[in-house]
Amino acid sequence: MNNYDAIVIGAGHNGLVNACYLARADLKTLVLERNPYIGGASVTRELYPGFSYTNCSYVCSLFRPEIFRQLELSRHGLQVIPYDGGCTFTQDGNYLATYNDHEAQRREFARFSARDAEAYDDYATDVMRHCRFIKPWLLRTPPDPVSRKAKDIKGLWQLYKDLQVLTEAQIYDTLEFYTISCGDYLNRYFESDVIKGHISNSSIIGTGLGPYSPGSAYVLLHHYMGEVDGRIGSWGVARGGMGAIANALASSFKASQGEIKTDCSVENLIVKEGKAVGVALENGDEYYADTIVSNLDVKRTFLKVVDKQHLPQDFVTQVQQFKIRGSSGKLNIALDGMPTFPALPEGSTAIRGHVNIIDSMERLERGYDDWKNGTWSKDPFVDLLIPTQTDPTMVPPGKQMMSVFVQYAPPVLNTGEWTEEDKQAFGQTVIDAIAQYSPDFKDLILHAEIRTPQDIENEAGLTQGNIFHGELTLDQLLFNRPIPGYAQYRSPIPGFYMCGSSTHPGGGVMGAPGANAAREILADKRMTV
Amino acid sequence: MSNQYDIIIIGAGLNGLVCANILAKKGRKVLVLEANKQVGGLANTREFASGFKVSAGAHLLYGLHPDIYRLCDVQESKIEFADKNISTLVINQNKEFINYSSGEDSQIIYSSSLSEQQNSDWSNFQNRMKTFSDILFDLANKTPPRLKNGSIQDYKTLFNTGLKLKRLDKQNLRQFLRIIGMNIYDLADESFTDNLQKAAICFESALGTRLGPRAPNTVYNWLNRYSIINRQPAGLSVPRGGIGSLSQAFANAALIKGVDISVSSRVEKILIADNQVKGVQLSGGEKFAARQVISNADIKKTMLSMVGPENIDTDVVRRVSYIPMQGTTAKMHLALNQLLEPITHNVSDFQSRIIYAPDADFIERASNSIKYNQYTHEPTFEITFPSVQDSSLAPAGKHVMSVLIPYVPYEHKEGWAQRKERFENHIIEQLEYIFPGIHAAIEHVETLTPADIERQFNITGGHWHHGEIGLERFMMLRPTAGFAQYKTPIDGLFLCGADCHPGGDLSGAPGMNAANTVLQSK
Repeated sequence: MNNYDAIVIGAGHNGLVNACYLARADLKTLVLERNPYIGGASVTRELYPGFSYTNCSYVCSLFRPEIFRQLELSRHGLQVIPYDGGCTFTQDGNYLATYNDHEAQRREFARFSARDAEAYDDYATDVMRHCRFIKPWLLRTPPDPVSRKAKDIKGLWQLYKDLQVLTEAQIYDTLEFYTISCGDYLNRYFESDVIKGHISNSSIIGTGLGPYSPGSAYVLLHHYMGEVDGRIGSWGVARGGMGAIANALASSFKASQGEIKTDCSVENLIVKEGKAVGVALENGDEYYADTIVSNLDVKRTFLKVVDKQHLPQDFVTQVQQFKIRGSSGKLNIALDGMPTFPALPEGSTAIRGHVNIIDSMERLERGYDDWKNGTWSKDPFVDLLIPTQTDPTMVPPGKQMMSVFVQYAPPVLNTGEWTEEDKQAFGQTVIDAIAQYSPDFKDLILHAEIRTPQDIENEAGLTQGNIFHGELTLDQLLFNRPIPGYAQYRSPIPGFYMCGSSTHPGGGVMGAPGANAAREILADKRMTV
Repeated sequence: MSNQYDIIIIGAGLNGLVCANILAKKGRKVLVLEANKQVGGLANTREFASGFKVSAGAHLLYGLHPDIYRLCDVQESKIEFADKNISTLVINQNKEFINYSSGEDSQIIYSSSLSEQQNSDWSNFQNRMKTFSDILFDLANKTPPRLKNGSIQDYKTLFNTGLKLKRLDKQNLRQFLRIIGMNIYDLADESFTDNLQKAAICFESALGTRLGPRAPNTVYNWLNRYSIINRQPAGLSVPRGGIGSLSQAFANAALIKGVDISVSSRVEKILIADNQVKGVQLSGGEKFAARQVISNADIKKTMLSMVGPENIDTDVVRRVSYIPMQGTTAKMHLALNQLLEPITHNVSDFQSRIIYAPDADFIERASNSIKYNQYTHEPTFEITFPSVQDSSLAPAGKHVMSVLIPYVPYEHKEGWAQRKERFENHIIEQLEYIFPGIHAAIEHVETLTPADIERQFNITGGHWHHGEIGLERFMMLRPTAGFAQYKTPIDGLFLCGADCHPGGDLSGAPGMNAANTVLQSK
């Protein structure tokens, strides 16, 4: 029986979210995954005996609470544990801690600048307003500004109404915020290089931009929009690692009679009379459905899975022009015990959260210059997290696992493809950088998995290893994402849809593209969830 | 000279002069006060070495907004051009080159190695972009509308702009909404296969800003510049006697209309009582009274120094002070005892605007160091030989060379006092690679860092757009929210400089729009 109502290609979190909604609408749904495990970049894997690694994405907070509730993920075993803490180490042996509590954060800023502590009130209020503005749009289909259809006009009207809620000055602030550089934006509020460095770290994660590039201020939002248990801006880890999200989604999906097949690499979309009718696997198997959804990024989808002859030439060109830039790498490190960080006071909670080691925008920007030149940053931005402090079940007693997100690392070096030596040298650069702040760190390393953008592409199937399935710049947001005119999850081929992070609202373990795509698919079938 | 006027204009830059002409034509009694000895601001000609003259600020005319000649009663035909339709020669270190025309229907004229296809890539790009730059052109002579609490006029402007956009066909509208936020590097990459063509587009787009071609929003800069050039029958041009002659023409036209122009008159204070402008006070203490004052000085100088923080809200002070106004481009003037070896073995080389930019990545790398307040060791250049276009600028047989050096910081990390001489020597060394023998031909050099431009032309930061230009500082965001309608929070005080919409490049449009705003206000 190879006939289904709907087939989803790729069991990443968006594919699974999408499949859950389709199955809940009583469509007989099949998810096909290339890897032997599900989750895409939302996975937990044992790469060293006894240690579970969340070796791609590493934190959970952007995941939309609406989806969490609708798909009953609690019931299916997903637990998100919030954590406090985090800090940026400074080169002079000091640190700047992160607190969820606004007052505590303000006092912390005051250690560096009294003026900046004052400004933080304004900054937090303003950024929160930008968050509130964008948030409802995460789960809306972008309106097409060219269309004259009622729903698009309604969508544009909604955008206008959302703006009119703001005061005139706030409207201008909003327009500026979406186009300005993080550097210019922060200069308005703060004077301390450390504070600006600390905040600007969030403006570049996953993108091919530096903090001085226009458009980087907006990326800050992608890291502020999160919430855990209704606490806006806070972060959490999934118990059991990021794979727990995929597992809970799979469980929810199966409860609605969904079916998942792993080790099934889709080679081709089968198109008959201009309509998508099924998929052919590498092993020759074929599955049929009149609705096919791709969770792959837009380049993989239309340049690899779909035969060009089924697509307008102009569309193919635009897919080729879509910007996906690998800019980050990852280290996953099994540790024999908890490393010490002498800069922190005894018992500090700062180590429980994100620990960064770039303390100025200039250092961050210089890292970006290296990347533009086709090398990894010699003074890399490192976002390290030891989730096993919050969830010790992932490692043997007394041990720790450290997830290290590194930026910038190019998908291809100026010397050519990544070699094994390059990869080791890259890993060493990062380990040395961390060891500057933790003298016993190197001795505790039991195993380190080093992942270049190339590795991330090969394993998780993200083109160039770009964690967002495409740059988050103005030309690739909202109705421009992924391709102008195809921003509503439909492709040029009837029956074939997109639900990955290449679509609005973009990457991060958010689930929104999957849910939005499901809504559009069901609307085409005149069904609702 | 009586001290009572209807309107006082601070600064006789081109925008100030355009503004004065339009207001005087409508019967206003106008006084223009200029701190320097010459009118023109950055649009001037001066002697930098005995017998050698140069356009010390802008050295090429992209063209005034076409409405201005009519509004100011200056006959375009009466302006004598030393050269029109100046082409652009882009070269790399291997002496490969392309030469293209500017203005409407820009085309490749000749090149070292372009194929037929590549030649038409150029024209196709220009045609495609013209549709989009026309949209910006339509906005150039409008006062940016307010987005809330606006007047009927504001809603009309918004509605008409919307209508213009809707009139584009679907495909073009989609493309416009996509590329307006893009970086020029990617757009050039999508449009061309030749490195010099890509470099040409990237250079023109980033010129005058601190951004490299890979920075988002740089496509906007290109469209903005081309929106004006595309409308010039004269293309890129230089008036006879240098750019200063243009300013002189507008100053003369103003004098005929009864405008008083007073040079060497530095305004120190704008006099205000009860939030209403009363007049201005010069550095010598002399006072002039007027109910309306229009400042062609930049917004920081105007608001933070002439008005003073004591007369404005803290929030406004904050807004104004964070506008990025640090200059990005240095200028070098060279007096040469002979003309140099042509680059392409074509005598007309020196009649062109010469751009040295081997490829887009080269430009991007050149842009890196300004972020850290250093100058780049591998600079790109825009070079003209004004004396080739206009022999009156140099003694017979001798020549003037005018060089723009992008990505030079306003403040050098180690201080310009320490570094300026080394900078000058370094640039000459680099020029020697392009023009062998130049070192020996130099009789005199003048170098203007952004800090020098600030001092000599009274522009905060020495930025030739009076502050960075880009999508994030466009229309109602230029120079900053709350000032975009040429008005300020002080009743009777207006702005008309390049920091206002639509920006610099000697279009005169800010001066024109400001004049219209003043005429409409009570």
